[in-house]
Amino acid sequence: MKTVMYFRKFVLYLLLSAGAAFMILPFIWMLSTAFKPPQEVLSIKPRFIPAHPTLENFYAVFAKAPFGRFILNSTIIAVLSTVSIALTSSLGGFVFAKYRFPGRGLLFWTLIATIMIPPQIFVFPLYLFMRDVGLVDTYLGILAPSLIMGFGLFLMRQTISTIPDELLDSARIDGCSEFRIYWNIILPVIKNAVGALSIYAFITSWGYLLWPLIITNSEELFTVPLGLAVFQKRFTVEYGPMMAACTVATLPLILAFAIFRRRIVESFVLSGLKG
Amino acid sequence: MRRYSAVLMVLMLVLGIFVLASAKKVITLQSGYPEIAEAVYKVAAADFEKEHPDVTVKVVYYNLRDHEQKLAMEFAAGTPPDVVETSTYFIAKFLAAGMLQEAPPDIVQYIEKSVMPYAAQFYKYDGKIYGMPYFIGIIALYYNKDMFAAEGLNPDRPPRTWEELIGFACRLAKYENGRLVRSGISLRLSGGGSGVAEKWWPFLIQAGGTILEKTPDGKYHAGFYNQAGFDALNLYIKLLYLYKVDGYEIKHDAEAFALEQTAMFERGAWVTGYLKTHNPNIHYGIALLPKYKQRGTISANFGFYVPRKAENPELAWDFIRFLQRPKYQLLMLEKSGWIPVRMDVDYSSILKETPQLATFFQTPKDYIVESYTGISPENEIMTKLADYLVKAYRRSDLLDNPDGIWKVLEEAAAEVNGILKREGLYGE
Amino acid sequence: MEMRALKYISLGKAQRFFFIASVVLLLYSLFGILRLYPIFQMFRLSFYDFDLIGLKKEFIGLRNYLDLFHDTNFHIALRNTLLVVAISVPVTVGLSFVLALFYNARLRLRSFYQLIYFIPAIMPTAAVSLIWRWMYDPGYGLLNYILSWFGIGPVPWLVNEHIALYSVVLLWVWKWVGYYAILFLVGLQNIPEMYKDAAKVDGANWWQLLHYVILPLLKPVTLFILIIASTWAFRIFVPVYILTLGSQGAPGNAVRVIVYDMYENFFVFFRVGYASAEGFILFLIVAAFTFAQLRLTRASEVEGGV
Repeated sequence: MKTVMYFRKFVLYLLLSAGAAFMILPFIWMLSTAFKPPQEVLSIKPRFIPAHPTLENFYAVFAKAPFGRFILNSTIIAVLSTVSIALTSSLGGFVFAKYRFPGRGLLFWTLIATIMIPPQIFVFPLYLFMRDVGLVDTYLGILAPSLIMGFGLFLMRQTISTIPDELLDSARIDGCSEFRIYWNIILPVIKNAVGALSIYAFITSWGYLLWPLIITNSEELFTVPLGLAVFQKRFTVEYGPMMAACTVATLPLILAFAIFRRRIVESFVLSGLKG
Repeated sequence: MRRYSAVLMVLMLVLGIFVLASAKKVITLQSGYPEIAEAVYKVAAADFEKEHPDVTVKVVYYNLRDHEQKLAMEFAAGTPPDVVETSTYFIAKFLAAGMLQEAPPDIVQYIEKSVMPYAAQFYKYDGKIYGMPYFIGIIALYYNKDMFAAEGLNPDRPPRTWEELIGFACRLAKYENGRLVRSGISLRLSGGGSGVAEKWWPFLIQAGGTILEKTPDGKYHAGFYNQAGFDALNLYIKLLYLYKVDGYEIKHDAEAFALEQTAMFERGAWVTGYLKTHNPNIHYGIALLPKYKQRGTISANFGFYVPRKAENPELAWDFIRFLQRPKYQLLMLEKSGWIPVRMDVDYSSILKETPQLATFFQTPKDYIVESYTGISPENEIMTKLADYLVKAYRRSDLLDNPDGIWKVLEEAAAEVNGILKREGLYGE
Repeated sequence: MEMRALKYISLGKAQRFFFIASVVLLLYSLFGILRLYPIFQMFRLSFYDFDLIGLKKEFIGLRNYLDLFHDTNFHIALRNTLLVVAISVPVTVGLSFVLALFYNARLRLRSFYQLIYFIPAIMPTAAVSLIWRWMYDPGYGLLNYILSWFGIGPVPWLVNEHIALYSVVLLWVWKWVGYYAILFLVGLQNIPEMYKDAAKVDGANWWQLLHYVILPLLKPVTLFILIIASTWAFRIFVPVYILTLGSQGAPGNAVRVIVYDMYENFFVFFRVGYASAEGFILFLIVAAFTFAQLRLTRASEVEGGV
C-alpha cells in the first residue's frame, strides 16, 4: 500500500509541477525575448536561451525614456496607495463587521456596490473634479483614486467577521479603547489577509494606465504603464524592446513580492499552528 | 514599522502637494507620434529654448490611441495643451465646437505660399484657417524588387492596373507543402478599429466609389453600395479564394514586408524608416497605386492647432512658426519617414539616400487623393464598416456569389446610413 | 462599585459611537468624492445624449437604454462577457480551491509552489497581455511552437474568431488561479483544528473530512471568492484591449466584451451618455448575479459571512 501512497504523491507533484511550469512559462519567455536581438526574436524555431544575448533592447527602453524615473513614480504611488487602502479597508472592515448600528447593511453594501462598476465610468467626472481643485498633473492627483478600494473593504470585513467576539470583549473589559482594539488586537490577527490585500492593491496601483494618462501632463510624473504605452506604436509591435519594457515593468514587483513574501508566508505558517 | 509608514505617508503627501513654481513660461506640445516627437519636436524644443531663455517647451507624447483619448478629455475639461498635434480627421469635432483659435494672418499667407495645396485644403473651415499643416501620410504601393526579378518580372516596372496587380501577385505568391509562405500582396484583413476599412478605401476609389459620398445639400450617404463597392470587395474575395495570393495563416503588413514574407503591400511613407531598422538590405520600390477605372489613394493630414483655452497662445504660435524651419522638415523626412508638406525646401539630400520617397511627392493630375470628411461619426462609421469587411473577407462562399456580396454591401450601407441619420447628416 | 461600572459602560458607549461615526465618516467622504459622486454624475448623464465636448447635451430619458437593447454590438459584447464569466469563474475557483488544499496539506516545497503560482497575479495585466499576445502569434509564437512538437498544426489563437475568446479566458485563468488559492488558504487556515481533529477521531476519511467539515465551514470564503471572481471577470478589459491592437490582432467582435464596448463608445465614438448607460446595465447585471449568489447560499450560515 505504501507504493500506492508514493505513486499518488508522485502524480500530485507531477501535476503541481506541470502547472507551475505553465504559470511561469510566459515570464521566462518574456525574459528570453528581452535579451534577443531582432533577428532572433522572429525565428521559426524559437529558443529559450538566446544564441546571441544582447542588452540592446534594454538600452532602447532606457534610452528612449527615463524608465528609472517611471519606476520611482510608480513605486511611490503604489506604496502610498497600499498603505492607505490597508488602513481604510481594515478600519472599515472592523467597524462593519464587529459593530451593530442602524443602517449598517445599507451603508456597507452601498460602498461595496462600487466594485461592480467598471472604473472607466468615473474617470471623466473625477478628472473634472481634480481640475477644479487644482490637482491636475500632481502626485496627489495620480494617487487620489487609489486611496481606497471596495474590494479591500469587502475582504477585510469578511476576514474580521471570523474573529471571535470574546477576544474583543475581554479587551474592552480590560479598558481598551476601540481604536486600541483595532490596532493591537485586530490588525495582528488578520495579518495574512492584509498581506493578500496589500499585494493586490500594490499591483493594481502599478497597473493603472487610463487615470495617470489623463491626469498627468509631464513626463516626469509618468508611471510605468504610461511609459510602456509609448512603445505600443500604432502600426507595429517590436517584440524585443517590448518584452524588455515588460521586464522592467514587472521585475520590481516580483522583487518586492519576493522580499515581503517571507513575512506573509511566516504569518501563514504561524496562524496555521495557532489552531 | 507602522509608525514609520505613517510618517512616510505624511511626508509624501506634503511632497505631492508641493508645486514647483517656475519663473519661466511653459508651453506644452502634445503629440501622438513618438517617432516624430523624439526626432523632431524635442530637437526643435531645445533649439527654441536656446533662443528664448525665458520659455520652457514641454513635449509630451503617447501612442496614438492614448493621445486621442487624452485630448478628448482635455478639450472636454478645458485643460488642453498649448500646441496640439493631430489629424484633420480627429480635430473635426473640436473645430465644429469652436474650441480652436484662428491662425494669425502671417501663417495664413505662409500656408498659401509654401504648403502643398492638397494638404492645405483640409485646414479651411467656414472660410477661415484654423491650424498649421505639417505632415501627411499617403498610401502607396511597396514592392520587393528582388522578388520581382526572381520571378522574371521587371524590377523597375510595378503593376499599373488591377489586372497587372493580380497577375504579378499570382506569380509572386509562394507555396510550400500546400502552405502559403509568401503572399503575392499583403492585404489588411483583420484587426480592431477602423484600419481594415481604411485600407479597403483606395481600392474603392480606384473602382469609382468612395466611403462617404457628399450630397449637394452638404450631407452624406454611403458611397459603396454600387458597382464600385462590388468590384472592390470582389477583388479581395478573388485575391483570397480564387487566386489565393494572400491568406490568414501568414503575417501581414509592414512586418511581413520586412520579413520578406510578402512581395507587395500598400502603406504610407513611415515604412521606409521601419525598413531601415528592421531590414536595411531589402531592395524595394514605391509606386503610385494601380488603376482600375481611375487612379487614386487616400491621405491623412496632420498638423498643429492652438486651442482657445491654451495657456500661452502667443508662444504656441511662435513655436509653430519655429517648427517650419527647413532643418525640422528635413529631420522629419529623414528620421521618421513622414512626408512634410512644406514645398519650398530642398529635400534632395534625403531623396538621394532614399530615392523611393520621391513617389510620395508625385501628384499627377489624374491621381485622386481623398481624405476623411471630418464629420463627427466618421470614426464610428469606419469602425463599423471595418467589422463588416472583416467578416466578409472570411467568407469563401462569397466567391462567384454576386448576391452574397451585394447583401454584405447592402447591410453595411444600411448601418452607415443609419448612423448618418442618427446624427442628422444623411442626405440623398 | 456599580456606579463605576456604569461609568465605564457609558464612557465605552460614547467612545464606541465616536469611533464608529468617525470611521464611517472617513470612509464615506473618501468613497463619496472618489467613487459615489462621480458614479452618480455618470448615472445622470446616462439619460442624456452627450458628446463629451458639449456640442450636444439633451435629455432623452431612457432612449440610451432602449437603443442598447437593439444594439448588435452590445448583444455580442453581452454574449462574450457571459461566456468569459461562465467559463473562467468555475475553472479558476475550482482549480484554486484544489491548489489551496495542496498548500494546506503541508506538502514539501509548499512555499516554492505558492510563489510560482502567484507570479502571474503579480505581473501587471498589460504586460501579461502583451506577453500572451506574443505567445499566441500564429507563426512565431511559443504556444504554436510547443504544439508543433506534438504534431498539432499552427493554431490561430487570436485570428480565428471562434478561438479568440477562449484564448482570452485562458489568459485570465492563468492569471488568477494562484491569487484565489491564497485567499482560499487564508480561509482554510481559519478553520479551527479542533473540528478537523474531532472528525478524524470519529473515523472520517479524507473525502468525508472535505465534504462534511471543510466545505461547509469554508462557505463564506467560497462565496466571497466567487463574488469577486465573477465581478472581476465581468469587468475584464485590459487583455481584450491589448489583444485587439493593430493589424495582427484579434478581430474586434470576436472578443468584444461589455467594458470594451463601453470604452469604445465613450473614448472613440464620444457617445458619453450611451456609454454610461452601458456601464450601468453592466452594474445591474453584476449586482443581480451577486445577489443571486448570496441568496443561493443563504441556506446554512456559519460564523461570519454575510
